[in-house]
Amino acid sequence: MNVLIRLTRHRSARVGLVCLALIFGMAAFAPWLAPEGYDDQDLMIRLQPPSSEHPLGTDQLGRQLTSRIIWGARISLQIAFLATGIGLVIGSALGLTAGFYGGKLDRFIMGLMDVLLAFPGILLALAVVAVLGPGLYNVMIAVGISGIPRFARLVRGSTLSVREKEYIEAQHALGARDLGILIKHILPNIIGPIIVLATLRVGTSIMQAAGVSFLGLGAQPPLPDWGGMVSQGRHLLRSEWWVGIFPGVAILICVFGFNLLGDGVRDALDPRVRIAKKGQGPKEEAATPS
Amino acid sequence: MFEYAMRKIVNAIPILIGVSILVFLLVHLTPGDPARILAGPEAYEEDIAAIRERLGLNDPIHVQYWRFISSAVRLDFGRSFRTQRPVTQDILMRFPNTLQLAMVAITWSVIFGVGIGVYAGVRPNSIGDSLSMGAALVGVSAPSFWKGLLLMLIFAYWLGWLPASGMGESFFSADGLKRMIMPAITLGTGTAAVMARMTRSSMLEVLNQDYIRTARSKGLSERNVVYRHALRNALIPVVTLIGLQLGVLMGGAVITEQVFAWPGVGTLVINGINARDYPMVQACILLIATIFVVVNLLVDLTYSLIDPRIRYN
Repeated sequence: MNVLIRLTRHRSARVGLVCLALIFGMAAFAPWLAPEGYDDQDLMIRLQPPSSEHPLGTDQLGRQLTSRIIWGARISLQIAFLATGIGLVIGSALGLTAGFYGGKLDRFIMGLMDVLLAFPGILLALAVVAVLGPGLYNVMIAVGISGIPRFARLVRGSTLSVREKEYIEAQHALGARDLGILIKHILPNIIGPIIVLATLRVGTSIMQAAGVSFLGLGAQPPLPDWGGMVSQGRHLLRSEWWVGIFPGVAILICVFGFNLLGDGVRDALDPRVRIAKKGQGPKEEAATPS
Repeated sequence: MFEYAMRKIVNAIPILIGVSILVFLLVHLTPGDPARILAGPEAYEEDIAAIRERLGLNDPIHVQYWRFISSAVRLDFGRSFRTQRPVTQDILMRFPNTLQLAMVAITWSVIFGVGIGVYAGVRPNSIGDSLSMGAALVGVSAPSFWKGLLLMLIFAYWLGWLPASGMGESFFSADGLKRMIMPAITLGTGTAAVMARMTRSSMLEVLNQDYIRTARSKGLSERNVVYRHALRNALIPVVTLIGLQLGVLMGGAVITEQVFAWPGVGTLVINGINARDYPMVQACILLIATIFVVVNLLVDLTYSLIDPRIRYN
């Protein structure tokens, strides 16, 4: 509860929450907020500039950009949460196993994770899409896979520091099963850093997925994927700039919101920040969502 | 030091082998027959069988891997399915362009990012600090392709100051320099932002150390304290970040090159994926991942030179 209070008092987190409220609101109330469906075409009003009639303008098929961006929030959040979820679940399971059992299994799992980490995030996602083929769900899987080693590394480190504690030894002595110890006793004690990474990874996932879509390998038209919309607008940039620029603003607000929230969650969960605020010097780490 | 360096180098070898296995499997995990793709849609079955035989696709998988890796160490990746030219030839032609772009991007982002980080770090919680860190967070949060298009719109189409896309004849000509500006800014903004946040955080930590208080109590000027005593130690973690970011930039170049029609390795990767030109995709990904591993190794070694404590831990 204290954490939630600290989070709502955190200035950056509050700004982040406002940004995210906007995006989540768009996703939840799209049918009511969007003036039209995301693929409602009217060639008579193609490429209209922003005006009171067409707030963010129209694209080359006469579709309202306002509607497409609002509907697009659903796709972006879907990609973000599913992709982060894949990384979180598989990465945490691997990290817990490696950290808890140690030995050869640890070396094998972490060796595999080191190999995955040798690929820059976007490149790994592209390699996976090259195998699976373009498409919305394949992008989610691709971005999710690129998140696995980051979660695995973090969870393994935290597990290593917790598994030697006396309360874990006590569980072993009581004859508890390994799975029970992992889920009931280790996981709750290392959940803080996992939440922080997950919050920051959501922003990264949105950005990576948008990058893959921009390259034409993500969600296929007519789905209103923000990255794909920027890509469709780039060839019209000289004269009809709004087609490519406004969907990018939506990506920016969304990722910005998650990054600010991630900073806030990290500070709220980190006791060192509270000590720092009491006069021992401020403490801030850099979020590196790439 | 020698022992530490050897240990690091030996540790990098299995990672490189793992990377090569993954890249090799790229073709084998992909649905569809590479021989059929190469032969084209109207080819006869006999032709496809002949191509399979010629590419060695009928051999056991470990034999194929051995052939792949032994050719790769000789920089022979076969011929491109798309252009029919040797893949290495295409990459050697394009790689210097990507490297040039990445080097200019990392150089400006380190100078700019560290500068902003120091500025914010010495005046925490001031308006300047809040503004610069807010700007850094926007820099991290904006997708690079969008930043590129925004720059293109403003500086090429609206103001007409810079050419919209393409690469000049030579980097050392006025035209070449002009064409480098927008892609380098696009590619480096995220890195500059991360660098600024890291430097600020590191400066804050160092400025609270006892030896800084001692330096101040000796009566040294603030300038001396910040630049001679604090900055040196604050930059240690930043060095690691430079290495990591160089790898990120090589990956990020894939997108930036597409935005600005920059003739680099990134464009080869995307064209390769679209045309299912597997030899090209394999070679480019292997190249970038290998550079990433080698740069990280070099950073580890440099780090231990700058901060000797690392070697003993």
